[in-house]
Amino acid sequence: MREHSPITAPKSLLPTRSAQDGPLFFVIAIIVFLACVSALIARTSFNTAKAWRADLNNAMTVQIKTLHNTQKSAQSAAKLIRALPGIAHVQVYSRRQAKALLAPWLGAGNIPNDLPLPIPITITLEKNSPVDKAAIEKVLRKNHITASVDDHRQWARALGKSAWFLQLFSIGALSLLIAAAIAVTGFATQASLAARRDVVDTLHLVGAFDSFIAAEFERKFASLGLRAGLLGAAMAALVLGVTQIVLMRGTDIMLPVFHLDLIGIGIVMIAPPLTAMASALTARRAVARTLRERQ
Amino acid sequence: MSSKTQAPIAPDTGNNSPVLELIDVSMRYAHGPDILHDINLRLAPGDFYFLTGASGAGKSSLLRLIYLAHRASCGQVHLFDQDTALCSRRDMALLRRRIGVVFQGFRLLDHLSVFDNVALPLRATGKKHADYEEDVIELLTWVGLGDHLHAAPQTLSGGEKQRVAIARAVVGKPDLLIADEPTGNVDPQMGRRLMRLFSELNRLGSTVLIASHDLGLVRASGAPSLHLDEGRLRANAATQNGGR
Ligand SMILES: Nc1ncnc2c1ncn2[C@@H]1O[C@H](COP(=O)(O)OP(=O)(O)OP(=O)(O)O)[C@@H](O)[C@H]1O
Ligand SMILES: [Mg+2]
Repeated sequence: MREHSPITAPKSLLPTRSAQDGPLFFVIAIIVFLACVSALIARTSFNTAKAWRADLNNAMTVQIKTLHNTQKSAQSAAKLIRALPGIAHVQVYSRRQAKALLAPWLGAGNIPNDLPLPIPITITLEKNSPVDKAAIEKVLRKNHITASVDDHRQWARALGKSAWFLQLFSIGALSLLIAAAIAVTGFATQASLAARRDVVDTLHLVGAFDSFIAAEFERKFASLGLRAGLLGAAMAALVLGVTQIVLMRGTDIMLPVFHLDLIGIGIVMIAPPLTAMASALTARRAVARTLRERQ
Repeated sequence: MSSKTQAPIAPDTGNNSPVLELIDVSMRYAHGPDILHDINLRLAPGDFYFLTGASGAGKSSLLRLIYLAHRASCGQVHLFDQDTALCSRRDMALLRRRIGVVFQGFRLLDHLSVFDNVALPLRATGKKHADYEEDVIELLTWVGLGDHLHAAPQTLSGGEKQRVAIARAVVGKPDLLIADEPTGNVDPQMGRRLMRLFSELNRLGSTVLIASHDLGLVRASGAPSLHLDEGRLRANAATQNGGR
């Protein structure tokens, strides 16, 4: 027999929109965007470094150093190496190719025809090949071919180190971004609290527990954090995805800009709920601090 | 437990120990001078007092002290037999739940509807919407705002806002009702109607303390009054209060 229109309880006792929520939303979204981008780039650089190292581990270079009949020595060395098990491919550089390799240092045309040049042979190993540097050195020595063998171990080590540093830096950058996000949320909650002082005071005076008031703010900021996190993470995935497509257009080279594997997807997926949680917790702490200052 | 009478509210009546006791209380704002000096006041369950005094005499300040919005700078404030100086924050919140307050500036929340403003104390203390919906509507209808349940406070007249504030103060069936100029903005007829609401509450066991400028209204009510003069409490002839 009620003549009133039905009444529904408001979800939140706080105003749904207050002035500083807009900027805060965008600041959090931008921070999440930057955090996702740096995490995804770190992830990609890790993958790329791993792939490069695998390639380096599969390749060796032999330089024939005999002074006479270099080309012939190179051919027989190649033949000996090809005979070894687990060799995918052996390529001998011609004198012309070797000259071209030196041109940047000595200048094209400055290399006399009778100057003995070290002839490089590149070797590609099969996966899990039993052949290593020592094996090749041994077979060449036995056949009296003077040569140096390089298995790129130094390169691989340097690459590994730089990938490690890159990861370290991006983890550092990520931590700073997360700290910034927390500081910004805390600051914004204080501002929001100051602006909604009337609500806080009134709730306080009608006997609401501090935890009740904190939970109101916590809910509000969790939802704000979630929305901002979703926007930031989606933008990160979109921007990096588009960059990747633009860079790859017209080439078949896989440029290591962005590589969305499972872990990458995980990063993008986990960012919004993580942001929501961080915002909620920061809000709770800010409210608790403000309330403690009240009588 | 209490049967429904005219007013849709009924407080839990307590035992006979004082609802409120102020002992040698002084109060000041921040580092300013004392606004209240050596206040001694004792309200027993069922008491009904007016608090009068010139503007700036400290009426609102004294009420603020009582509804636990401000601490005394010295002296003791006892509420419902508890020394508030010794209360935890949680205990203070529990004490506040037993006090209904009509604030001088109303303190209505503009982003909530009239209904939600009145329901605020119930909601803030964890009650369920379904459990209080009927009561709140009944109360608002009783103060003549049954057609404004969904209205925003800004759209109400001063007198209507005041009635919302009063409804919010009494909705929790408080043991102690504090009202700061509760009839300042309403016409005499509504003023009498609201006074009847307070009397009704008092009759059902609430202790009532009302600050008012309106000496006519005070006299007409026949209730005793306390007088504040420059921060000092003086009992009027009608009452024995204040002297310990
Ligand atoms: N928040 C405050 N900070 C500092 N001083 C205040 C504050 N509130 C009130 N005062 C001062 O305390 C004194 C008493 O003020 P109070 O509001 O208690 O008077 P009142 O009797 O309620 O006056 P009115 O009848 O005009 O409402 C006044 O001198 C006032 O200036
Ligand atoms: Mg006042």
